[in-house]
Amino acid sequence: MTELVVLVFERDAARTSELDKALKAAGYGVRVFSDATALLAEATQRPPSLVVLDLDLPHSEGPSLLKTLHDVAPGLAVVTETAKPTVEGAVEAMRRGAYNYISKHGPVAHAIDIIGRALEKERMEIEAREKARERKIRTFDNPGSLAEIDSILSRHHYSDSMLIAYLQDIQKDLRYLPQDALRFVARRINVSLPRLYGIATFYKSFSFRPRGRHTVHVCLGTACHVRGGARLLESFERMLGIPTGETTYDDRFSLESVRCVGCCGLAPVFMVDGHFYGKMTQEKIPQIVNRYE
Amino acid sequence: MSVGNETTHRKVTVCFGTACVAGGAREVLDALRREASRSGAGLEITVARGKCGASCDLAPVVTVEPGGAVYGRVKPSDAGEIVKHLVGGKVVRRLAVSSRPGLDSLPVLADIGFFKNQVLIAMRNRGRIDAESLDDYIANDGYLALAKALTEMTPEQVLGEVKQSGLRGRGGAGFPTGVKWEICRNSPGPDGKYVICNADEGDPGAFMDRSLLESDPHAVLEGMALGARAIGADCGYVYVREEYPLACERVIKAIEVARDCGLLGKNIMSTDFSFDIHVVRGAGAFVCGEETALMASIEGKEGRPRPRPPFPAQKGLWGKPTNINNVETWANVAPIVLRGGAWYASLGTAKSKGTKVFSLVGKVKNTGLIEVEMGTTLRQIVYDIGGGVLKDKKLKAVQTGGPSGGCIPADLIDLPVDYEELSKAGSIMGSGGLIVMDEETCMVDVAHYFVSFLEEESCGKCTPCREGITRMREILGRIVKGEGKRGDIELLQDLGKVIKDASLCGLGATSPNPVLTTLKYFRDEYEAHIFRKRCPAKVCKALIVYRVVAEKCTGCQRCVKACPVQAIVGPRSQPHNLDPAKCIKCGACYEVCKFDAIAGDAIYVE
Repeated sequence: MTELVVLVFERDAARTSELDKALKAAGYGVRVFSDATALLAEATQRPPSLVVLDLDLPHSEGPSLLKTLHDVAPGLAVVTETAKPTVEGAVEAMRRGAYNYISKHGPVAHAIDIIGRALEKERMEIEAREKARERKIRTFDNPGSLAEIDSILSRHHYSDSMLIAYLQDIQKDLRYLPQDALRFVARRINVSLPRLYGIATFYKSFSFRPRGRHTVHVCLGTACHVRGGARLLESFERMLGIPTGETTYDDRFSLESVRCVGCCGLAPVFMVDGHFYGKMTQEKIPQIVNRYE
Repeated sequence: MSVGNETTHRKVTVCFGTACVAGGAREVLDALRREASRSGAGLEITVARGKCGASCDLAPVVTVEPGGAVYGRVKPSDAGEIVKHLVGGKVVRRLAVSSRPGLDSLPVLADIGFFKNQVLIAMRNRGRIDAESLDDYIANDGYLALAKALTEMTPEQVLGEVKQSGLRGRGGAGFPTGVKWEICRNSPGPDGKYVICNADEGDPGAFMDRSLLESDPHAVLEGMALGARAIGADCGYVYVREEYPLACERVIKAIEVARDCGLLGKNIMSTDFSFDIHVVRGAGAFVCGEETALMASIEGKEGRPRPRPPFPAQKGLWGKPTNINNVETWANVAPIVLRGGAWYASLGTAKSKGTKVFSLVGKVKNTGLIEVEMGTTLRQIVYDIGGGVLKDKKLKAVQTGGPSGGCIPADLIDLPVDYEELSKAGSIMGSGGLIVMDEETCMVDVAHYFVSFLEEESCGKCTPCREGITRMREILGRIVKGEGKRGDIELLQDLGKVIKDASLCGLGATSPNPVLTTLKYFRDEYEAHIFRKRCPAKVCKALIVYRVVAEKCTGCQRCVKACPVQAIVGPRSQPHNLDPAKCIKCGACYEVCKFDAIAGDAIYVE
């Protein structure tokens, strides 16, 4: 089991030692920082599970540090603390993406409780990722994926007219568009997240869920339709036990229909991972499916 | 290229089109290379990848030079025999593609019915060149038209030839290409102009754009360069559908090679003409074939059409004058410039000049791409070139123009195919898909199929298209389920008229065509579904029942194995029983009985 690490960035020494003790007692790894540069370096190199961030820094540095943290580690859970809690401050912190906003005057057990809940979510995500890795699915994973995505963006000079190409390349790499990847792209090339989502939902080739190891595309073009393409698709649905557009439980196959792959001479046609099978009948499906593990 | 029998040079070409690669062309090529190096003593044997010959039904196809013999459905294990033909001249009759049974002499390309009635302009290099070789293209007069245009002609003269040729847009609408170019040329473009090649071939059943890009990319690039010269553009885009990865790869490669050779880029052929081309991949949206939607997509936005005017020729990509033509249109440009507009105009009919590439598919014997003169009749296409309907069944209709087109009934088989005649019959030319339908095709099902397609692809911007198509689909959905009501036919006709008149772009305006033409020509089929709850073609699941014909059934048990729900039971060698309550009407038993089982046709559908 991976150890969950919490970085504490706190000006108040007493509060720091209090948190340090309580977090360690709860079984977390703790590292304490008093310098923003060191904190950022650590967060970049070894992304932690959570950061406790003091908002009462001089020159109102706290809120901007929150943003910088999210730039280097998108999706990172940050619990913000302050000695002077206000409603405006809370709204501001949440708007900037904090996981929670707590008062330093409250009991430390309350803080640990909130941190625990945030880490429970994190722990579940880590578990899901590990499971996925066992089943050989590539997932979005800091910081390796981020570096890859960044190199995709730089190939096209971070131009905002290449949005479709970015999403295609990311999808090709990861087999889906993870939310964190979209957030990262939006921030990096300075377009709004809704605009990216607009594109990702308009075009059919994008998926927000991971695809299986193999993708079956059954052609439903007109030539395939009149030669029984729809019957092939139904046969696949029965055999794989999933409706079109879904992925089997063991992540072996995703089933998609496609409007003409331009191979009408061989109708009816389906493709597995881009390999064509022409002049197909339902009877031939099982032996072809068995070739793919 | 003519190589006499006396020379020691032999060439064997393996078609590398999509269908042939799917059919195992790569493996055949490797096997031929191995065999040739082993036993080709004293001979110079070239084993080459060929351009798509577009006779996809025969995939994979191998051509042998000299002689031009054609072998079809070749397997890697046949390589040895084919190399023996090269060495000793002994024809492999078993694999030879024959125009009629019992033909004595070896068939060559020019003899075979499928090929002999065709006139090749856009597909001029079919089966003759390696798609990835610029040398091959140049050896077949490639880039000669561009050289002529840059050194001997003014841009006005290039435009003049295209105008004179009468070439019309091959993407569907048939707008005169020369006129389109002229409008763009006359639009002020101080910051440059664009030319775009629309390769977002979305019409199901049409694949000529794919084949052209995959097998002769330079023909398209040269056409674009000529267009850019005539219009005064300095930058071009090819917008390719992402479902065509091979097309995308080959165009990108061709652009790189052309750039390296000074055929694209700055100061082409050392003249003052500069022009470069970029490739943009689509992301799966049918509506992006519409020109304003396509431009929005290139700009990195959702591909939604916008009202015109302003037309792209005035305000197009990034607000600059832009000319968009389809792949096939661009592929026609170089021969026109080289041989003159008058030559092209001498082919075809009064208003539709030249040739058109069609993808002849569906229930027809010879499927593939064909290029014929405008005005060729449907009969010539389906019977002389296509070899007739599959299993000699009765022709019911030919569907043209993709989802926006219509169904031409068998009575109109002598219709000469051009833009005007097709639209008179209620259909459109579209991108050139010709889908042959026989008595086993249900026209209501076909209408339902196209309307479902369009419902999914409607971008949702304008109400008549978004809501109208959905209502049409619901009504048709009821009819194919046997829940049709009196008045449905009239309602469909009314709806169709409103959608046609009120939609924003071509997708909506043409969307009722499949319904209206089938209603016009096959009203009796609709009535059979609505009033008698029967599907005459035996396609609509809710209206058919499968049963075993006891007298025909030999009890071979193949259907028992094929049935996914164990609805068929019966001991070996005795007529089987089919339980209609369990049957899900998947047709698996029908398929095996029809094609493979000993009994044949013992599964009956009614």
